[in-house]
Amino acid sequence: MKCPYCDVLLQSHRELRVHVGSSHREKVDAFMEEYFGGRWIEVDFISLMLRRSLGAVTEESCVECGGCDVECPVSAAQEGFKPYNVPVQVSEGGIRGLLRSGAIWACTSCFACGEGCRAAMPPYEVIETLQNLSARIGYHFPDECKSSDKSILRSGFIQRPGALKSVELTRLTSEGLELPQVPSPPDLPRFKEALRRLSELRVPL
Amino acid sequence: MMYAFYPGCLSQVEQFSCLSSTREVLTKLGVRLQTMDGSSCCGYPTYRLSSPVTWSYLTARNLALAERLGLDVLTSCNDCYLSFRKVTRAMEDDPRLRETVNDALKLEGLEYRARAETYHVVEVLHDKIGVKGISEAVVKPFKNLRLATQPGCHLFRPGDLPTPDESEPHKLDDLVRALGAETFDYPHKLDCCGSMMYAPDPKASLRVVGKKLESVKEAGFDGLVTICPHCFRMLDTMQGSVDNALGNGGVRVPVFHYAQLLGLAMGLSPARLGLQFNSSPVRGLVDRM
Repeated sequence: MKCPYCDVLLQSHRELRVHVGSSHREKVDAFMEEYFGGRWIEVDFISLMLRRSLGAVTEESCVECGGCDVECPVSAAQEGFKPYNVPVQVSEGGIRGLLRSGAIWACTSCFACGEGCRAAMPPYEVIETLQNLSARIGYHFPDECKSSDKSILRSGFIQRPGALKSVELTRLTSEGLELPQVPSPPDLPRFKEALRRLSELRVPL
Repeated sequence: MMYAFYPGCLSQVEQFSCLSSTREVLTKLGVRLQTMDGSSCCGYPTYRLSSPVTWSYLTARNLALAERLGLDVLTSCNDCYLSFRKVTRAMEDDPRLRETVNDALKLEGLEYRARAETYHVVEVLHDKIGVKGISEAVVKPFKNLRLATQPGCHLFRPGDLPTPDESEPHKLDDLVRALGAETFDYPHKLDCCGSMMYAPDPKASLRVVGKKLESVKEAGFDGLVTICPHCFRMLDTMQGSVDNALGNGGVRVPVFHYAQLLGLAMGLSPARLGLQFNSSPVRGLVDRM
């Protein structure tokens, strides 16, 4: 099937949703309206799964003490990002806004917010779960992450060894330092089969 | 002392100086490193997001390879360490996950039996060889050198998992002092390097780096040392991009991987330690050393 906004060919509805979510984010509302009758299937599903994974995110999940904000390096570097906003917005039923704002992808997974948190549910737990659900349901998954996954599937690694530019602009590959050859799975077809089989599993593992 | 050595993707495909210097110093200190033939990425962080069961498989597969060698795993990457610990815990807690992963591992004739322990390089240097052992290996101690440390988040977080260092990390500091250099705390020491957010938001990530470098400079350090390849990439390789992205007047701080400094103090050649690959201005300090 064809993407209605750029004519790219996609294999399935899921791929189409992922593509629109990633490449035409400004069109997501219109797209969902037209193709899914305005029902936010993904968002409803994500809300349900979040509840199953973490339990109910309620007003008590965050006391808005600001302890996480003090610890968070992103808060200091990105205007408008406040880790406590994530559990607060979820408890207020604002998952759709959160997913669309991209706020969950600003997290560096440093876990520092957990050190400042006085409630039972540190922001990173809610953020990690939302990132995971967003990616798995095909709502949004950053392109760089997608290409890492693809590369691991192809070769076992996030990328093949390249050449790092030195200050003298000479190019020296890893062999120049007599490093061992980068290993790779010896039976790539079976390795790939295992990855595919597991990636397609539709169980909450 | 022998380990199945698992450097992780980044230092094998890009940050060669981290790998080269770590191999050089560990070997000289008598640690035997067995290359893990057939290993792959641990799957963290991307498969953790897209398919947690596939991430568990990738990490468990590497642990299974170490088990087959009859060795514990030694990793030099903070993120791989976290991945090994998280998956080990998840497999303990969820027998169904372990069964599913083991079913997939059978395709390659492997089995995860939870027999291989995971260690970080900092644990081997600090706890196994010991600070005294490191001091004894030093032939050219550093004098009048003040170095800031960047332990890297996953060396001491999250608090609910075993980590290589304590919640108030001190091991890298102890190891720096063992070389004769001076180190002390500074305001942004425990902050993240911003590595994980580089892909979705490079500018914000570079602001995180910029803040740390400024903090190091203001505290009066001569340079910065880290033991994580992800931190090294952000603080050293990306340092030039911080100026371009933020126009902050060009804060420049020499950045080293700890193994590079240890190697220099042990009298090893700068080229074998990959110092020609550092993008930050290290030359002046190396000459002084």
